[in-house]
Amino acid sequence: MAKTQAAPDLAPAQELVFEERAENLTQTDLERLTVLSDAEKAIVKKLIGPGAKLLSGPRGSGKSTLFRIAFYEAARSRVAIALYVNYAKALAIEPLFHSHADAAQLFRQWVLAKIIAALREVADVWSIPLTAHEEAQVARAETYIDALAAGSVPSNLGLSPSGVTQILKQYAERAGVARTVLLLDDAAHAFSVKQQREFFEIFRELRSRDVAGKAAIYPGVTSFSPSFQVGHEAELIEAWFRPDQDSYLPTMRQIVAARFPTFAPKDPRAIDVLALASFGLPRGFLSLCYLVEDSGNTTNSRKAVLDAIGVHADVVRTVFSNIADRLPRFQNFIAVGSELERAARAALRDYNRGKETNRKSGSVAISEPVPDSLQRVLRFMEYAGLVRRVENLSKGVKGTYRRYLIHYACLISGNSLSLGKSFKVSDIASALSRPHAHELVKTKADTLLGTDFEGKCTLALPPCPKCNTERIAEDQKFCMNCGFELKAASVYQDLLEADVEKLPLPKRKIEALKELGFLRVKQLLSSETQSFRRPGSSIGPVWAKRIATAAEEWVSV
Amino acid sequence: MSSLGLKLHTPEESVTINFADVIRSVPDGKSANPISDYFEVTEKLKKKLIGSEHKDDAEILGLLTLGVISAAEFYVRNIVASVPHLCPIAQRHCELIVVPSGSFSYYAGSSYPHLVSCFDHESFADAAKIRAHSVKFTGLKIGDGSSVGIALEEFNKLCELRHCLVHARGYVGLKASSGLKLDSRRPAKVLLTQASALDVLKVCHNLVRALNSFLANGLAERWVERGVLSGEWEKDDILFKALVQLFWIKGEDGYGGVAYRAYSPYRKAALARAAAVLAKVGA
Repeated sequence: MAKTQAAPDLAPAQELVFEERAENLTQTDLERLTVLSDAEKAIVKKLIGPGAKLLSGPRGSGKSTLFRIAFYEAARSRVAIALYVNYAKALAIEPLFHSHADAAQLFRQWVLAKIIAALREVADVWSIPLTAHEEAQVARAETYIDALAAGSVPSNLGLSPSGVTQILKQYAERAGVARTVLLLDDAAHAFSVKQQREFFEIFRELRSRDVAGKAAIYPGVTSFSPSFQVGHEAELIEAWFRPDQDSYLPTMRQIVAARFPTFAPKDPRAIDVLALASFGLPRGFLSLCYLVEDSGNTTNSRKAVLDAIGVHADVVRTVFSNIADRLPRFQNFIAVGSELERAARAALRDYNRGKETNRKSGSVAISEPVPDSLQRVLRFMEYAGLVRRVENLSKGVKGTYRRYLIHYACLISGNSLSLGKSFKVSDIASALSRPHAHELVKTKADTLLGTDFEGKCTLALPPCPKCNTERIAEDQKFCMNCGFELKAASVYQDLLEADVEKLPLPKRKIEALKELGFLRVKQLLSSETQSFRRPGSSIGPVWAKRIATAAEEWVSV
Repeated sequence: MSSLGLKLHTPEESVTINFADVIRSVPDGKSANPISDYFEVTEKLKKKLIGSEHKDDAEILGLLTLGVISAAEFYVRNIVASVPHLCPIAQRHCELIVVPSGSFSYYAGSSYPHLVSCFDHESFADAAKIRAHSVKFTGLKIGDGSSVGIALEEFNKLCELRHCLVHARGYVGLKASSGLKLDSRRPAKVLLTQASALDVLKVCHNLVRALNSFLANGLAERWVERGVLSGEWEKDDILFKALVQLFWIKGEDGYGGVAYRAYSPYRKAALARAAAVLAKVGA
């Protein structure tokens, strides 16, 4: 989607232009900065319409923006009450799973309390005040949420999905509408399987004739509850622009014109190249534009564009490798993923060598069957946006292939398009903007990774801290050698303690943070006034906001 | 004597067992408190569970598991009976409970409270019974969805398992099948693996830890609410130390083994309560 910049005066809104998270924008700002493509309009229609939906896309694909727009659109058109609920901080209550037998119940109550608490914003936007009873329920829900956020365990709220549905139904009746839509953002809780399963069980239970749930999820890594069948329980909607489609570049041009009207690189095709390098993610695109602008390089725009793409490719790879930092047990899968990305780039480089510019390829087709272990690796790569699965390729008797686009920034910075030494920026656009359907690398997993890759796809479980014996299973409770009671570490605590180097930020910004004494993620989070924003350092207001966002996202899912 | 009679197998004989050889006096009173006693016993069983000797023997694993469940059950008896000895409110709460007259002398000199005699005819391998006795002897009610309530629900499933192992040589009857929420309604058998036996151990640990925390916190909070604690260490010293010592595992505690360090928040709460009462009286 494009976020329009209607106001002629950029100065007060400069931070806003680079506000990367839609949920932080007010209604006025969101509407002022946003224009939807036809495809997105269709998505918004589905979001405020009946039926359960799952909105899938990697980070930065615009899921929250679509939700927020749907929230305001529902209020404007008065077709249904829409509640916007953000579950980004779900991981903050993950430590409870290590200290309370009733953590699943606490989590369920928290999920429901967040829905009830969201009624307050609805009452504001719809200008229909809450009744005294609703006000009391909302206040109790807010107290509950605050208590859990502060690490204490409040007494049970006694909320149930049917009870919540009833409250919503009564409010909708007063508003004169028949339906309620729940826009459940950051619902993936990507790294806590237990929470995900609990969540989707509630999601299923909330479904009724009057209430339709819409949940934002990440591709590849979402675990549903055993009784939740995607397709049957909810329709899957993709919120991720396809960079290989005709409508892509016009939409992205609209975005930059709307959100960054002053951005005018010397070579106008640079905008197309940056759009392609963002691989369909508007947030990445704006970041690339900002990197070019920030470089201050006015004489050599080619270098500025390629440098920005190089930095962005590093950031994308960091997002992927961060999975291993955040969930060390998957580090072997992530290592195989990194190897796969390198191998795919090398295969594409060989394939593209000597090809005409308009016959270059950015996709790899892996022959079926793809082993389970590699599927897991590919799912992590999809989550990070490093690859994108597109339609399968059927070659009849020769078999079926799973087709993946490799992140275009990685292809460009890794010279996988084989454009030669003195290519023009516009050559990149020519190579990637309209890829030929028949140009792709058909290969096998073994060819890319060697025959022994499956042996490498094992969980990296920490050994027994007492006798150093390897663990046999992920959920092992005692060491099978010495009997020491094995504890699962709190993912959230580990994330708070992580080095700022782990954040997907340019090296220059990381170094600046370290110079200012910000070494751990928890320091960035506790610095509410963004004290890492210092005059004279390379961290100005825009970067301060982006750093804060990166830190929040680090502990968000 | 009739000359009739079928001889279908070897006949029975006159057999007796000398219980004096089987049941011996045991040295007792060694453990610091019920929870430490539980972990001491289960630690020994755990060593047998992880030993390679029995790792594929479902029957031995089943028997060892029974030992673990029995230890958890014994912990519950021990701690529930200990609370009225410690807490003046619990003592008053259960003062009319009938106790076998020989209890005092039987348990005299042991580390076990004489009130355990009240449970001689009872099985604690049942969540409902544990809940009922917790209220009856301590006055503290276990909430359904609370942490201890959930731990108890899991333990209750083990009790079904225990029933199968004790009474039906592992066969799962219809009631157990329903209690364990199994999909199948066909006869089945409990065949434990080493990993599942260790899961059982963990569930028992969880119950013991949850119940221990629930009772310790419940008593301390009640003492504040009812003015049993004065907020002055000189006056509260003996009672508060006894509470900590009944419930802690020294070394695992968050107070470096010094009971006084656990007192600080309760001191503040007790003083605040006393001030509030005084203000009310003054008003």
